[in-house]
Amino acid sequence: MVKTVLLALGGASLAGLLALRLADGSAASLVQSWYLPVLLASAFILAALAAAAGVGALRTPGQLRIASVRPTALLSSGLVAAVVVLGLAFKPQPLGSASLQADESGLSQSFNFSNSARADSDERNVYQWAYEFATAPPAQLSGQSVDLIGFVHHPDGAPGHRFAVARFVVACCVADAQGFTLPVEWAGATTLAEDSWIHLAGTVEMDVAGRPVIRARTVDAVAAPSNPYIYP
Amino acid sequence: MREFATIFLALIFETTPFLLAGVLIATLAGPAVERVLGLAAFRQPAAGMLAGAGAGLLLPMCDCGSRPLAHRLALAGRRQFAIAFLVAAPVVNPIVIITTWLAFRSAELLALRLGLTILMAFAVSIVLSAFKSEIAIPAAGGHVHTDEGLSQRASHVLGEFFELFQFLVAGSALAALIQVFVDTSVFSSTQGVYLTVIAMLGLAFLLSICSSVDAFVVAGLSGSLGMGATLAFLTFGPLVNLKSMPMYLRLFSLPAVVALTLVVTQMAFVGAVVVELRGW
Repeated sequence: MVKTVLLALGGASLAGLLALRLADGSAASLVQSWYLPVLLASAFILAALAAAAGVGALRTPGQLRIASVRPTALLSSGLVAAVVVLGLAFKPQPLGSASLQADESGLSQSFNFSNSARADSDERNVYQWAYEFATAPPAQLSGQSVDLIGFVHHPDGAPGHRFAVARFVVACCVADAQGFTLPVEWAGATTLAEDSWIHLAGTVEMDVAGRPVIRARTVDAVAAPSNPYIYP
Repeated sequence: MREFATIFLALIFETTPFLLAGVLIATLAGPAVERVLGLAAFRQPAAGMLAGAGAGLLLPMCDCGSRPLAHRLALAGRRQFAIAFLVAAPVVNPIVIITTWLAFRSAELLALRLGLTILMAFAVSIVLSAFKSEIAIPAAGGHVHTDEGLSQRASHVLGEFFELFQFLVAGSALAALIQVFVDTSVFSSTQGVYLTVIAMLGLAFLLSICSSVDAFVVAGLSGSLGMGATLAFLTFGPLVNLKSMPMYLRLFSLPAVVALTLVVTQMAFVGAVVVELRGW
């Protein structure tokens, strides 16, 4: 039964891909953290099915004939193989500033912020601050202290002392990711590499145009968090 | 290429567990559901249709997971139930009800989403029940028989899974391409009731990834959208989208898929426009 062998191989390789990306932690760059156990269970079920089917096929080796494979089975196997090869070739990485769209400057987005925007100023993340920047009166924000983690983005044409700190908000998997950025003023802005992760502390102040901006007191390089996205 | 690979793999990782669960449930619970539907009470077409529209509440699966069971039941001759279930289950189920509420916190929108979807389920079920020809395409491997050994059953489940998986791969690849290369802001910047609703139908076709979370997706797009346009996305997207079309065409005949698409499109459009222009 060549078809059964192909199915067992497909199941085993898909289970292997899931297991590999769970083991090296990069699956967290693709889906919500609560979904990781679901993926693990799926990998186990696929592996068990593949093992059961494979054992049955090997017990009847007399039927191993290539001629019995239909062309559609080959096409199907090819697609599965393509997924596995792509999954092995590209280790998933957190979305970076290349995926930030020009119009997603955080402020212009009319994102539905649901209920997550109520937090003390010290504990707000990029997403919650973007909400405050978009909705609260600037005078009320002025002077509030900021303490957050995000990655660096240098918008085109930004002055040398300005950069943006960004995070992606993901509802389910990264296919629905939306980027949010906050403007930051810091003397050493040009020394920061695009897409590097930073821990930033400072206060909200008004810039010359009367818009809120984060004036950074300290900017420290940090490792990318194990969970790179914010979940609303 | 990296961005495409990331989004594509995310879609595959996201949907594989649901598809696997759907195939397992169709295989394991399918015979029991067939037996229940064989009871006298469900022989009335109307009763079958009603039960199908509500069955998603008891069999909580999102769109990828509900199709194998709907297909199996349609093949078994329970067409009213199967089609009503196929159309309603992606929306009328506990997971989607909760995520819709979390994303919008609007009882009115939630009620409209459920109500319009159930009406669609009735309409599609009535239209497809009038078809004289068989609407479900028989599975390549045939169905699992209870007297089979464990390894044969495993091989059948894998066979059905990969049969559908290839269409998931094709649909996910298309959806990822759209996300990387098409600027969707064109859809969300339209003016006027009719154009906005049509644009949202188009956007839903391209973007609706999984019914259990599409509420968050549209909530992200739609701060400025009216309730009608949002409703169009939320009722049309789970049924007719890039990812679902290849799978429908594998499971059901072309005329059946065309009829389903037409009925759902018309009802989503009319429903959305009525809500948008509502006087209440």
